[in-house]
Amino acid sequence: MRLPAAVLILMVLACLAAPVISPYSPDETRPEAVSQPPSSTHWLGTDYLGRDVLARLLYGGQRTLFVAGAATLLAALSSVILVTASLVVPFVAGIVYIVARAVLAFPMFIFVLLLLLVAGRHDVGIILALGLGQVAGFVTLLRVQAGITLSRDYVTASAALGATRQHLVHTHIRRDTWPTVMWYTSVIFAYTIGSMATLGFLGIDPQPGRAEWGAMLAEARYTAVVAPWGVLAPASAIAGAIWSVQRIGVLIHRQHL
Amino acid sequence: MIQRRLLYEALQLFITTWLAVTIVFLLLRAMPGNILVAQLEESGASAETIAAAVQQFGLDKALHIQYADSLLNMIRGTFGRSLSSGIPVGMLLQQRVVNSLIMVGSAFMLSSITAGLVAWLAHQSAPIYQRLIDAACAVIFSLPAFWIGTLILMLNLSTLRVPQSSLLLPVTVLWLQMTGLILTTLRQSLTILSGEAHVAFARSKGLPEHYVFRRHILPMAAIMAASVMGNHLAVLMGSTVSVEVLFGQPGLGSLLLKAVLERDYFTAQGAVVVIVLLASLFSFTARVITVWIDPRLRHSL
Repeated sequence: MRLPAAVLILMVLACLAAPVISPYSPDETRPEAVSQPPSSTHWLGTDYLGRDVLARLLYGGQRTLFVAGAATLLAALSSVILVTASLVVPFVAGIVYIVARAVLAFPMFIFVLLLLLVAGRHDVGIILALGLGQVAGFVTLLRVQAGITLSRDYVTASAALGATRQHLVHTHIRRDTWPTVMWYTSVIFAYTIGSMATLGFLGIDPQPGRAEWGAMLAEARYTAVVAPWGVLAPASAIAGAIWSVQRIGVLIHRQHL
Repeated sequence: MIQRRLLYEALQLFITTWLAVTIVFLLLRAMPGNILVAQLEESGASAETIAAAVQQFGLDKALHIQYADSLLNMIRGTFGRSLSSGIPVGMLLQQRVVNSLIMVGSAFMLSSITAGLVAWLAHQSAPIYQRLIDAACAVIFSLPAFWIGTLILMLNLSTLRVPQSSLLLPVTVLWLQMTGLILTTLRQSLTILSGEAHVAFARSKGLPEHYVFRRHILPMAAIMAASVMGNHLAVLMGSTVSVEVLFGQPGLGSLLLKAVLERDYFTAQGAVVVIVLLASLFSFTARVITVWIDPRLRHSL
């Protein structure tokens, strides 16, 4: 767990310390320094408009990690609340699972795209779209996990002794589903980092032109042969973030098995 | 029993499609402007010309009448004409569906075979290699498609030099991703199944390992993989969009993306209907296959 955690923490710290690490602005174009290779002045080189790649990487990372983190929190919190509510109140369960099934039959990409267009041209829109897009899958998974726990003999015994639904949820189900919650949260975090980059790559970022990993990759691919650093830097950032998040999740899950 | 089941499936398909169309209809019209008016205004057309064009597409009618028209058209199997080019949406969809099916279908077949073979190899090899394979799969699967695509594109530009227009490159990207997904699912279920009593019994009878694997482990693992893939194949039809954009391949995903961004109402509605129908078809096929492999699951179809 040490290596992936170290990678993630390092990335987060570097992104937060962007103004300290890089003296350049992520959006400042300088025609006299176009497509320069990595050097002591530009550690990761410059892109086709002469913007500093390291600065764009760090400021883009701030945004990607913040948006993906917020979307993940939104998805996890609302899923846990919905599942808890539907375990305690049977009426809620009916509504939640009918809606969840309908949403799941809908391709995720369309769902996110439509939500994004409605939620508006702001980062809040992406957070809502990516977060809410994940709730249906999360709720279904947790419900299955809770169902397995509910069918265990010791839970039946507990219920027979007069334990209320609230009590069962609070004790057995919470303990059994906790590792799944942690693991799936990491899966969603990795997925939202990737989706955020995909939105940037496709140019449907609500704030076009702002530094973003996927958008950096998309722009740099036209000059990939003369300036490969422009592609490699955001590509490694995306891969590093996704790998570390996903690895941490797997290891947390394994510890609880 | 089977009839009731099919009726239920059909009903669910109907409701999902209807919901999808309704959502797309409402959301697209909730946003201002559309491509028809935008194009005409840009070309300097007079107010009368624009009004005539809007009337020709029936966009001047009240919203609820437009909605009823859309639904009726869909039941008749026509989707209207594209607002940007005037081409019937059915024709636009036809080419795109074929292209998407070829890409996703061939990638799916290739990756099923690859995943099966690698799973067998991993089953036999030392734990260290197994963990290596698992880690590689997890990473490949969770990387966004455009990431793998861009690197393959770079590799192609510098060394491989396969013509850009060929389907080879996009299929390779999809193949890698799907192999990652299928293999992850297969490996997880294989690990669970290898510890099952009936497998231990088959081994203790002295059956050779490849027979135990083929007869007792793989079918059960394939069931789990099939149900996962049924849902994912559907999702892939829509999310191949970044691969389509990257390699300039016309497919369903990029058609829908463009239509939504341009507010090309009829094209967007048609594309969504086709994607939802295909999605439901795939997940239904996956469930039929599961039952075919394991008849005990019949009641859960």
